[in-house]
Amino acid sequence: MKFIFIALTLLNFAYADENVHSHVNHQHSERAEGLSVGSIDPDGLRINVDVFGLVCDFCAQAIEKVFMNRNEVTGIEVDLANGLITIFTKHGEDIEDNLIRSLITDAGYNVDKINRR
Amino acid sequence: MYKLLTILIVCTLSIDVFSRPVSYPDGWTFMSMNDGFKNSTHIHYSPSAKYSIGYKGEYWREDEFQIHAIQFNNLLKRWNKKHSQANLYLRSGLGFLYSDYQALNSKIEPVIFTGVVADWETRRYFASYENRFMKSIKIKNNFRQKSRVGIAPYIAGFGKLHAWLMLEVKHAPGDVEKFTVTPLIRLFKGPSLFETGYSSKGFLSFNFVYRF
Repeated sequence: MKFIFIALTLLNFAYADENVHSHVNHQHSERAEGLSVGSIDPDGLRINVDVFGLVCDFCAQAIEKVFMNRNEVTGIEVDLANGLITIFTKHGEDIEDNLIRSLITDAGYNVDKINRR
Repeated sequence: MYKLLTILIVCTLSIDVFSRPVSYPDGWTFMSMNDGFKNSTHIHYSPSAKYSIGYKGEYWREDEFQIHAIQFNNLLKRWNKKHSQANLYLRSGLGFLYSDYQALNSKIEPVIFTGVVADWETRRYFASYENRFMKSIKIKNNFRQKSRVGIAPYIAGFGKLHAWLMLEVKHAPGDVEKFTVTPLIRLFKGPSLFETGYSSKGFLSFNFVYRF
């Protein structure tokens, strides 16, 4: 009984935390917009990568580690709901598709498609 | 009973597993697992997303023996889908076993162990299976397996607090009471994972994982 009470209490906190974030996110856009880590260079590239296997937050920490180690990258957004990784680069910098595919594959995922804007 | 066990194994193998013994390239993982049977610590380094190597230490309270080993974890196969991921791992270890239980009187001997871990998860559902066969010269040989199913009561975004409600079934053929059922709650945020549960044998479980 004690365990159930503790579990429900913790869940209540967890659910409350998520509701707060959901509310904030909806004020900005339908999708969970915003950086997971880093910053955005307004003159830099925004590279969208559709990924297979991106379901576990705890495991997707790898994506941050891998890309934030690169000089071209200023920020990363990981969108678990849509299986989407967005890479923000510095002005005048780019990362080749083959390298992106290689880094994501090495991190344990599969790339579906890459597009830039 | 064996039919039930076979169904359980086949079903869980066809779905998924949990403990993710391999991290991302150049990643370290610290795991502390504590339940009614044992306390264990596993620290591993992953040169790639395909394998990891590390130290595994265990203390089995009832039988009063310790294991200190080098453990190798290999990702045998990964299935990445748009909304799910499944993995099959092989875990093997080599080290020594120490016991001062009754007449054993501080006896030390080599020990080896091996087993598979399989898991499948979506953002809402989770299932896993793992087993381990352990053999020493005289002190202890055993086979154990466990399976978990879980559900996330809400779907959280990346970097937020995630919660899972899980049910774990452990099977130890050599024990008098062969099955242990443990409901658990798992919470994780960023690189830290915590879970706790209370087993059908009246023991508290406490697990902690940190990746860096």
